[in-house]
Amino acid sequence: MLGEDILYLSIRDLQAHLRKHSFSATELARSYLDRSERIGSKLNAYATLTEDLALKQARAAEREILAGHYRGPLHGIPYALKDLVAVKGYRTTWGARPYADQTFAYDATIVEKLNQAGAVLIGKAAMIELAGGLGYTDGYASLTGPSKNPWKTDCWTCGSSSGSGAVVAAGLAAWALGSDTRGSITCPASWCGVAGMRPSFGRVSRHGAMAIAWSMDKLGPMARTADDCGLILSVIAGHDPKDHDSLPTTDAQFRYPAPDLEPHMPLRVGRLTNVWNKIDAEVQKANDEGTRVLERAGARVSDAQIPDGPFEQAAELTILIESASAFQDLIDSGRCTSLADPLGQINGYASQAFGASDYLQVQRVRTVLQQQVDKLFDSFDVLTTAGQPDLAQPLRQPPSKTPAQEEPGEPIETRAPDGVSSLCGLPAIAIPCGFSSNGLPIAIQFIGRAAHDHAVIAAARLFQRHTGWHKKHPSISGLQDA
Amino acid sequence: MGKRRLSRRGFGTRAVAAALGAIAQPGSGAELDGPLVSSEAQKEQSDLTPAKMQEVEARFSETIRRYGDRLSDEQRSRIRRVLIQNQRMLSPIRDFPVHNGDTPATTLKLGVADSLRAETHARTATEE
Repeated sequence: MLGEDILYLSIRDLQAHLRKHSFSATELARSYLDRSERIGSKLNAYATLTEDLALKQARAAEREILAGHYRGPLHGIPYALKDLVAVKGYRTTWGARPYADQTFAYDATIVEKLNQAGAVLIGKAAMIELAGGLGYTDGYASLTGPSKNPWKTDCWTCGSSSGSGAVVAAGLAAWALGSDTRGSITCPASWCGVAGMRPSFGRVSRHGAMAIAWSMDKLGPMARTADDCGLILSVIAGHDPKDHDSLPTTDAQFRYPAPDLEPHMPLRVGRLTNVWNKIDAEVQKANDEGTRVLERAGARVSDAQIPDGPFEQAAELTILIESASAFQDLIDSGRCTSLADPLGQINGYASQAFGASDYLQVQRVRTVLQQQVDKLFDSFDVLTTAGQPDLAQPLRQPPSKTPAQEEPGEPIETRAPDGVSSLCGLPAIAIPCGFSSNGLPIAIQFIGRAAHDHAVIAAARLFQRHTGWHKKHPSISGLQDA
Repeated sequence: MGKRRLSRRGFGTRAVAAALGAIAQPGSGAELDGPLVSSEAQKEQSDLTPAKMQEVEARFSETIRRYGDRLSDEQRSRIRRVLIQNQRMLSPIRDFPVHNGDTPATTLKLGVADSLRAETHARTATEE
């Protein structure tokens, strides 16, 4: 079996090895599978391992690569897929008990694309039930239990792409697909110390993926580097007539690398100064150093502010109302009461009480807010702030045993970056920028103008060219021995 | 972290936390479905006007009418708290100034196939 020195390599490096025949695609798949079997279950990282499919795809890739037929950057590269994406013949549980035995007779569009690219599916990554579509309170809201953070296994990975974060951080696959309605890629990427990218809305087809909120759902990559995210996006992006919100061909396609589409230097970076109510001191310090790294690398950094407005409320209400419709059959049938999270059991009932005028008003406000935020990008190529304002939190006891979620709430962060950028369909990427004193990852994120996905990748790549945080990985020898 | 804000989970935490304790307007009838009002709960809801509280009560009553037979007392109480929080979120949305021409981000997009678009483009170019 291949060792960690190989299994933690970037996709670009793995692909170079495959082409040099340093090892075969089958050997690589077997190594990740072995690691996934040994370690994955201890982290609750997977819903299902797809060993037979992985080996079949790996052997096919091996034959083609030996013959000199290269399909592209993901050819022969093992990956995991968040368990809300349909793979023909395999369980797709949506992380939720009511769908524990669900299967589909077709592949999602993104799976078709990855199959055509010669990628190797290792397994379906665990996730928060319904990706949190009906609300949840902690990591226990998952059919497969809380995903454990490879950096500190008594901490959570964040959600809802909880398993995807664990898979990448623990080196169980070269990359994983996540989904992001409002922060479900950037948060687990931040807490797990990996790169996580939310593409512009409409850039990646969602046909065959579970819907939470049609006007906000995105699929995107979680990987070791920003460069890897670019490689993956070049494969999975593109127009799909089966997705109502898919961008037209010329806007959806993503050529990478594409220096001609990247911002000119000096990169104009807006440092957001008004987005968090509270931020951990170590997170702030690491992000301050991060912006200095960018300045030393030639970027022009200045302060920026998100305009006033009910961004967070608009994002939340959009999700609540759309998810109540998306899961209407689950709610009406009463099967939502078999969800793990007490809030998820009842939240759909409350959300059905919204009226049409409420929804339309939210969407009208959203249009105005979107226009206001867009103006910011007249002055900046990207905006930057912390990936998350705090560190991975400890796993809690199961919700039924603790009333922790009943503690008094703090004021809504109306300009939380995940809410702002998700509401407006903007691309964002979170990458590691340091570690706390107790060894937990800290992330910086970059947000770009709608459809300017190259800008956020360019900013993150610039940062990673001058830092080595993304090359660190957790010591999980204890898990292997256990 | 999640107690402040965390993707879908952040909302969940806030939704149940920001409105500690149930509310019940005396005489509204809704109090029959939940625990009595505590002074702390009254304080929590004090930011909502009587009109907004009436709206909460109407929504709560409708929810109970539709689904009450499958809900425990605890779940009913929780739904009411969620409805209060939802009402709080609606307030700044309703107060936000929009004009007649500000369209919602939900308009129908015509699904003109790319092939048809290319064909039309080619025909136009030929005619020119």
